Amino acid sequence: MKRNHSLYQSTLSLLLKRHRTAILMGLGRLKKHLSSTIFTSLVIAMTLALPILLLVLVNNVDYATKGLTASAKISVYLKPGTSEQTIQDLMHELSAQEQIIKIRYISPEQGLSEFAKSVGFKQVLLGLNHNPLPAVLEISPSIAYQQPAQLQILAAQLRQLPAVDDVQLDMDWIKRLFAILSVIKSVTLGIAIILGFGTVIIVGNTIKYAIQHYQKEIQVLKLIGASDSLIRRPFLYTGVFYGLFGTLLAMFIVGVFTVSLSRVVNNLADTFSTNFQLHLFGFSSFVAFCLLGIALGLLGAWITVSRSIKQC
Amino acid sequence: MIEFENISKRYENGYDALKHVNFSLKKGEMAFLTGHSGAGKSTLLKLIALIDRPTNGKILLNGHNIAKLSNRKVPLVRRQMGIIFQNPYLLDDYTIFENVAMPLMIAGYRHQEIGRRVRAALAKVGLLKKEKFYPQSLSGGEQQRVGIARAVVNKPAILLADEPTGNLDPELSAEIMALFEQFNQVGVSVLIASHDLALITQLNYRLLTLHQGCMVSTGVKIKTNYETTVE
Repeated sequence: MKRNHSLYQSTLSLLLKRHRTAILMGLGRLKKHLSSTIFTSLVIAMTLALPILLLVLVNNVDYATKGLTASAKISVYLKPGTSEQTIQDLMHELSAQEQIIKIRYISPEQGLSEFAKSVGFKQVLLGLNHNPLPAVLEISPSIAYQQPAQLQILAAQLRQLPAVDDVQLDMDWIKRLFAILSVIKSVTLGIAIILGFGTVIIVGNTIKYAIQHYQKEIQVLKLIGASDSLIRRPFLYTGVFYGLFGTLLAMFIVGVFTVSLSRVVNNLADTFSTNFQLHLFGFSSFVAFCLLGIALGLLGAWITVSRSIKQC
Repeated sequence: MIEFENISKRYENGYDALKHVNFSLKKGEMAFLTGHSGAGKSTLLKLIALIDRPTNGKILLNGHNIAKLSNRKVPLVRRQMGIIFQNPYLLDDYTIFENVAMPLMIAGYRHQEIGRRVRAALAKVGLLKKEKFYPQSLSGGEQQRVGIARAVVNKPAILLADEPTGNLDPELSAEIMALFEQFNQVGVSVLIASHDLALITQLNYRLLTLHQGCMVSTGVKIKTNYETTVE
């Protein structure tokens, strides 16, 4: 039977064994003080849930605005009496431009029948003895050219064309929405950051209280010859587990909240005629949140335990 | 084994707990440290266990001065000692087995070896049947014996005990002392601080007497009723 006389032996197997023991001890403590473990994890979860939720919302604002611009279309009204040949040439010319991804030609007849269908003015329209509608080109800008400023430039270029009577780009509401959303986004991000700092303090403090139970244990371990690092290690794992459990719980809370919110959001999206859906977080964000929680737990535990060990 | 050379300890509040103390305890020797409360018994033991550091002087442990040992090396010294207090300092969240196993886990013993040694130590103090119990379900005397089992499980070269029988009735106290004698008989150096003169004068060991921080006698006790001869 070999006895390890030096604490500072650093062979890999010894290190792994120490960490395994530390993990088991850390888990053992969590199990022994189950109610304290649950309480601590809950506090951490509640604290983390709010910033995570805000980040999810910020993300969704991004998704939402992407969806909105993707629906932007430019209506080009052609001068009355423009010949079919001119229209074909124009369409050919425009589709060569990189800003434009799709052109739909709506002839006056087509426009009239669509108008009659959608608005229900059939009787009125039948009373007219000629078709008052112009030919229309409905242009979808390509994805890279959907910023409000770019759309306006494109609209101005189209307006210059000889066959074009008028160009309509319903920009104002998009612009306004963009401005509002960017304000909301900045405010939300700011709040999330402030809450993030608060979280560090709260998590640290919570772990501090959780670890104060172990003051006597730390004292006894020191007296029977445990080194500081040996005492510290299981507590660091305890902190890691608190952080991890808390974060998982926080993401669960955010998940439930998001799912329950999504029906309301879908209704809202319908009124904007987009099929926007609430996004939760991707796998990489999930991992990032977990790592963040672990780091918070580790930091809180480290500070508290180091102080405790010094006091003994 | 242990040698004090001109050791003084002054606490931060200016109180002189020990003044120029000299004494030595040989390898395999058993001795009692006695004196009124406040005479400096606990301070002396704390200096050996490196719970406190002396203000002046040298403490030689196997010839090495440990008085100014770096904090990093303190655990290594403590693992060579078994320390027993009046309050056994058992951890209520752990079973008797786990409490006793702790020094071995710290020292990195293997699982089977831990089980073997813990049971041997518990058998020695007569508590093998209670290994799965928790400290609070044990009597005061039993708890103290668990504390002793924990102190000896690592087979230390030195046992230090600070008023180990302070809370126990005479019969139990005698049992505890008999245990210490058994460990001494297998070669462990034992230093016990106690003010229970009625008990320790019945036993034939050297008495180190402290009075107001000074070592007034490192005399040899000859087994005559309640008398000590001073060197």
